[in-house]
Amino acid sequence: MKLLSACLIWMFAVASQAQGIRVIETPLGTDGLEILQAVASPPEGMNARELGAWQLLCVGMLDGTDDFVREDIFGFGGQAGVAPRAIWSNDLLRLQFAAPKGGESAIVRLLESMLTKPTITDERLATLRTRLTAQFADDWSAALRGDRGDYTLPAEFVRRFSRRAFRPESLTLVGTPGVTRALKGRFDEWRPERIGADFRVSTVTRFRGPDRAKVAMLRGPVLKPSTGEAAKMLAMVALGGGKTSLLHQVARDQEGWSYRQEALLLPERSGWRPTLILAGADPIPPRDVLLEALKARVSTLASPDLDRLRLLTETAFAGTNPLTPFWLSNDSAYLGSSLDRTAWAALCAHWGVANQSPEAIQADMRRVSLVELKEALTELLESFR
Amino acid sequence: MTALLLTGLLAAQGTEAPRTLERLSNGSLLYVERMETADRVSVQLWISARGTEERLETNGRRHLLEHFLAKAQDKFCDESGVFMSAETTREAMAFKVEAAPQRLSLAIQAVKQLFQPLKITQAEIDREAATIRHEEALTPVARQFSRAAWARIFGGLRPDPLGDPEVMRTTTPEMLESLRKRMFASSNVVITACGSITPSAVLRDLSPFLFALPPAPPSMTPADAAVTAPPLSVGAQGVALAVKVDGLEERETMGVLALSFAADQAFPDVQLMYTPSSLPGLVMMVSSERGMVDRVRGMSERQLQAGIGLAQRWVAGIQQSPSRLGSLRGAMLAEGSGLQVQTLERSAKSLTPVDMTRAMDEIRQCPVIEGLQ
Repeated sequence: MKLLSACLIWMFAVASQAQGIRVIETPLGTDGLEILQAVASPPEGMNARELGAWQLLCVGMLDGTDDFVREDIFGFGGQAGVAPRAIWSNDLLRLQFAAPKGGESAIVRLLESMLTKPTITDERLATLRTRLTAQFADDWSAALRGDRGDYTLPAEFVRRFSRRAFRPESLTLVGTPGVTRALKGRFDEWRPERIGADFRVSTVTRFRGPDRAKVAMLRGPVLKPSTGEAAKMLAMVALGGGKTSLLHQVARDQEGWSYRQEALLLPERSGWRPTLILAGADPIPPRDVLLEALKARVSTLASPDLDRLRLLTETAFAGTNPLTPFWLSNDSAYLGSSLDRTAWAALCAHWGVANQSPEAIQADMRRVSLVELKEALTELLESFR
Repeated sequence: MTALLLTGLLAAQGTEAPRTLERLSNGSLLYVERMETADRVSVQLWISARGTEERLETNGRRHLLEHFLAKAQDKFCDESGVFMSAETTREAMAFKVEAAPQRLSLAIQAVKQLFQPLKITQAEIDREAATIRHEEALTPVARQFSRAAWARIFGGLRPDPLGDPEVMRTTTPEMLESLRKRMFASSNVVITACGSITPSAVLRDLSPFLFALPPAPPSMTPADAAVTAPPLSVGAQGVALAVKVDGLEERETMGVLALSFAADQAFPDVQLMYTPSSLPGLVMMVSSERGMVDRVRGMSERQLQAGIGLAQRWVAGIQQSPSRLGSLRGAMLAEGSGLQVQTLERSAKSLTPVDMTRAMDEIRQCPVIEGLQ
């Protein structure tokens, strides 16, 4: 009964705002913080220049707008003791704010300014280019970041692209009750002009780390949080959800291929991308070798393993198991805080799946049988490319 | 024993003390703190490096031992719904077990099991040394700068705890077991338990266990005389500021930390590194952009002042997290310091613009560690 109530109150839509922005309200967390999550996706099929513009916009999001300098953003946006964050990948941007009671208007104003009046000058772009072309702190993070766009762009191109990337119809806002009240009417006048796609051809590169570690990534087809995908989600726990996971046991302990190996559900434009990532000092063996070694272990799974996986799932959602596959961005896992819960809700809303709370997903995963788990694991492993 | 009796008395009266530090007569320490708003528990074992401090010729054995001890608990932890992480620092080895409150007894059991003798073979040592070679390849850039800075400023007396692969390869099971016995001697052991707990119950469970630990055999730390650290270069692009600070309880240290928090907020490329310690250490600011040094040294008044609030937030974050609070108390107690988070809170709250100016003076004079061009 308790679980059912949690699902019912998880989130509910409030009247959609002008201009087609999707706005969802979530209840206040136990910490009483007012939280605002904004999720935006850029246009699909961007070329390297547009990807470069998207990355420049995202990485500079907290550096200041035409209304607020960086110190203001952190000053007004950090009054609850939680710094604002701009978390991005190549097809998703999530802006996260928290405020104490009474601070809702300030964070809504910051968001509006960031989306509608980003500062795009030659000087700013020069700084951002330097930041984006700098070496990453480690090879793991660089691999997760993926493709790097073309940054040889004039400010005017980036300015025009911002109107193509940030649009009411591609924006999802999730907020606690005070925030949704403060949002009312805020974006009514926001009518960015239509901008066409860029067709010039240039090439993408990859983000670079220090190149000391060898990293391998395999990716499967996108899945959305839903009852029908529960077996695959449990299969991801089996692959990477603990130190007894298949990846840890096979790649690190049995074969000695890697030090770090994880199975992640990374959020993308339309759902989670199942991803296997491994890193070590030497080149990781080819896909087929890795997958065959993992498949050989699937048949050995038995009932006690299912019990263990259910427990690992429970601890993952409780936030006491950082080896959870459920990630909220390419650098942070779902760990159950009120910020994480609203981020989860924002992603679900952006993907068009309502009422898929962590509790509901967990309940679905508990019902998966051993046979279903093995089938899902085999199917998932075969789908990785 | 007095502390135990006192806690029991308070509990009987329904006014149990929220935090208790019990010093056992054999030297072991047990710190427990109930955190009213916590939704989890963190039970941590801290083993002081006292008597086993590494020198270049033994550098890496503690790290290797940590791997084996933690690995032995993998199955138990995953089957019990608790999560264990482990780390080796220059001053201690730490095992941190996180769990939901209803699994507190299992978290405590995981910690107790860490005291079991090692059962490993030479082949397993060879394999684990290879795993640590993989770990070394994943060392973040900031850590590489930190390692170079420590070698330059402190010499070989406090080598990087990740260790020397050659030393690990020549380690035998017998060496590791005698190291374990020396490290796990009663006077080196600190356990912290923080979060949604009943302190008296944890004390009742753990005090007799700690009381039964054996005393310390003679020190295994090699003599200091022969130590010479080779200069270390950084195999990555960038630059770092390395500020030597005294212990965390010093006001000047809090000032430097506040300034580094301000730099971190003002400049997204800056990464911070600091291991909280009551001993002299380094606050590192690392960036892949060489211009970072001038930007940090030229921070505006407004940017600098933001550091005071950020330092206060850092301390508040420790007070709200069972894991971070347990880590702070564990690290300090393993070093023989009784530093409490309330002291840090006072220190952060009393920072003034004058402290920030002094911190900036330190930053302007500190060594700059250069990476690849």
